Amino acid sequence: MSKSTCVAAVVALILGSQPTVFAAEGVTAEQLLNADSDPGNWLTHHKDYSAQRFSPLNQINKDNVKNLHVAWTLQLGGIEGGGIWTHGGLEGTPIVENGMMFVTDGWGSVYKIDTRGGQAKVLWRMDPKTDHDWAGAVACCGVDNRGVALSGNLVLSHTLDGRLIATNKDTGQIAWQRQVADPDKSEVITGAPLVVKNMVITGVAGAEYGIRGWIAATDLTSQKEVWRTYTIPAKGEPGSETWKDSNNAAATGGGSTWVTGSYDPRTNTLFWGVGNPGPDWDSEYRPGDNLYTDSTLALDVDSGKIKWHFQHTPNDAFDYDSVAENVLADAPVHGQPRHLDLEADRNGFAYALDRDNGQFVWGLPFVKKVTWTKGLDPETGKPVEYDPKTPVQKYNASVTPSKENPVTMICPGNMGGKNWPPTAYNPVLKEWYIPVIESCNRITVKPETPGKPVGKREFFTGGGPDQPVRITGSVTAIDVTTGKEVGKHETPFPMLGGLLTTPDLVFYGQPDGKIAALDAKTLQELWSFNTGGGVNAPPMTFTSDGKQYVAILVGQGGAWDKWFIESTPELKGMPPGSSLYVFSLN
Amino acid sequence: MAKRFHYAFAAIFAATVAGSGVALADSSDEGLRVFKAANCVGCHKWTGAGGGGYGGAAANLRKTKLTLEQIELTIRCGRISKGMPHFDADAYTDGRCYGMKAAQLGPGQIPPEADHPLRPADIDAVAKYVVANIKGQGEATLDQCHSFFGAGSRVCDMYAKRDEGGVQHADAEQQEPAEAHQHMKVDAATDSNAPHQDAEK
Ligand code: HEC
Repeated sequence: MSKSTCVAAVVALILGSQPTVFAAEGVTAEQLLNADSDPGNWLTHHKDYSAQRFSPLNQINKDNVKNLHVAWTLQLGGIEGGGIWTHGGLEGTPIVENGMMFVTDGWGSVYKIDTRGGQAKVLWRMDPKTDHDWAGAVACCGVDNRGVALSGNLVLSHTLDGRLIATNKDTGQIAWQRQVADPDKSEVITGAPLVVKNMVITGVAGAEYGIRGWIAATDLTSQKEVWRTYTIPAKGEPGSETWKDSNNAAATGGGSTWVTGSYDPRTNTLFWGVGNPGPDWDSEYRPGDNLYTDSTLALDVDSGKIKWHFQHTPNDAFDYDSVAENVLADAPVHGQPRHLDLEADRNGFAYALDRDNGQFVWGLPFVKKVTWTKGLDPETGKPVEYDPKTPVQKYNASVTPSKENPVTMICPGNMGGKNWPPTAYNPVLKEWYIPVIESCNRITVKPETPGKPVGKREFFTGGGPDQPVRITGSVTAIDVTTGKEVGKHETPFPMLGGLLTTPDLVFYGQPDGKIAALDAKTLQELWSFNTGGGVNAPPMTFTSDGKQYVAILVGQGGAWDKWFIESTPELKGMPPGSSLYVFSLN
Repeated sequence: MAKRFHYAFAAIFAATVAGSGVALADSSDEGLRVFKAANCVGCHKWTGAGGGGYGGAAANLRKTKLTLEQIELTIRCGRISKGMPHFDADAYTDGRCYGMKAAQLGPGQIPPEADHPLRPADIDAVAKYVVANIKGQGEATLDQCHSFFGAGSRVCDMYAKRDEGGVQHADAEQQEPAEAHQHMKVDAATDSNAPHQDAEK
């Protein structure tokens, strides 16, 4: 690792003085494969294909982090509303290549920022002219865009109105674009693209509106789609037998894929999380396990064929998505070396699977309170009450939303557990940090009518949540070698932004504006700063001119202030914003 | 602070209309502006049909039985124990709404505060807009969609297809100056997990 790091540094030095040479090259497939040993850059959404969000940079460390301060800030756009939303927000992870930073705002504008010389200079802004009314009316959970991907001389980005856009990295001009998702079917895109080989991979949102979810790969040369894997199998495909109704519930079965996946080159496998079934809270509408909703999928990256799946919450009645990122980590478990896939689910449980075959390794609750099940079966990893012969799962029947139990408190609440904000894994300490929403909320079931056509571009949820109790948060640490919780740092507000870890630190942001650094071992707070705007995005770190910076987007967006604000009364009236904060020592 | 928001949204709306090049002529202009700026759309949708969903159901204003006065009252005062916010900032200060003051109402009873409180003239205009353009209307139509959004958005396409059987869409393709991307369609690859895919290849 140290050798290739050194080479990368030398290459960066040479190229840095000859930007034109570099422009012709651009980011190669090779560079993306080795992004884990390129510490100064952050080349892909989750930093590298493992989705660990671990940076080995240690100029900023536990001894000096107390001196961290604002290096510069930048105001961005995209704050305006559209559809059912009063404003956009920022959920993106900045991407950095050789001192050039690329960020997006909620409506999908891409900004190229030169960070060299210790200051910010916007080199261009690509405004995709997203159709606000068309897309904003069917975005369940806010006007969001989680960032870009790089390949060659292109910056790849998505728009809420369903497009994949390739922008020339030097000029900021759109090189080409294609429609991948269809807002007429309530499909929108919020996730960042993932480049693997010569493909760019897209996930979709819309399970609250009766979509049939998918993951799609576009060839970067031909600009054509090379494969599309539906998360709800068609009749006759494996898994279709898990939709047991006679009203074709699968056609509107949900299964969104709006969080960027991870990739293991060793087995040529793409790992991607799948969201909730629809209608969210009317599980009787769709008897059966409802594959592949609430599942982790392992796909052959060249063909999109499903290699294996692991379903976390069969016949979900809670909106317990498994859309989260899958973190790929190699570590011994009880002394046995394992290739792990780690996922922190909306349902409140953290899972380790063997990523080569999908077998359950360990699982544990990472929230303080779980009421919907007594726990996981230690052999299968399924909830202990799960009965494969029962079409409509009742789990803990006194909690599970149903026609008989139409108003019920569930813990964790339907936001999770843990939502999209990414976890971080520290391979030095073998500790995995989860940004937790410590929550319960109340679900009211309003059953949908089987056989009745599903309204076009209308919510199709079978009920809805409300927030009678306070919701808080935590950073929860798990030792992956044992599958045990080893620490919990509690926070007054839920974790809506995600984490970053360095060799001895963990960074997070809160929706009241606070950004903080914890000691990675003890979870003691070592530094904090209030940005004055809601933090709804993950921190990242990079070097520019050899100096380490920490960057984070600030501006509350997402679903919280529309649907969940009653649980965090202090955040009411928090103004929207759209800015970038960058920190450094001295 | 709330006032500032209000102006900000009005400005955004003005910009949107100017950009779309559509002149809104009828007397409901002001009411339409308020309906958008105060984010009635956020809960009731542009059609006013409201509907179920994530945050609980907002009433269907197309089917409302309320008179102009009752609608105006509902907008000023919100609904006790329901999700309809009060748009009069002082609604529960002096008993002007349902004879109640904030102190007499429990936490679950007091209607939510509007994000964007409205002046009396705005409330008047938006109430009239609801009566003239929403109340008693059946299913939303393409014309209504166009007069709400103007041209330039694909949001009305679904009504075009339904109302005109695709004819309208062909017209729309000739309309300039639509951006090229506004006509893009999804060209999806075949299902990677279809059982006989290998044989087909
Ligand atoms: C935060 C969501 C929300 C917003 C914003 C909102 N409403 Fe409502 N509205 C509701 C809900 C929920 C109801 C149903 C209340 C009930 O159950 O009695 C409702 C009811 C109404 C009613 C009564 C209809 C009837 O027949 O009883 C009218 C009129 C109305 N809204 C108009 C408006 C107007 C005009 C605006 C914008 C100025 C607006 N609303 C903004 C949620 C909202």
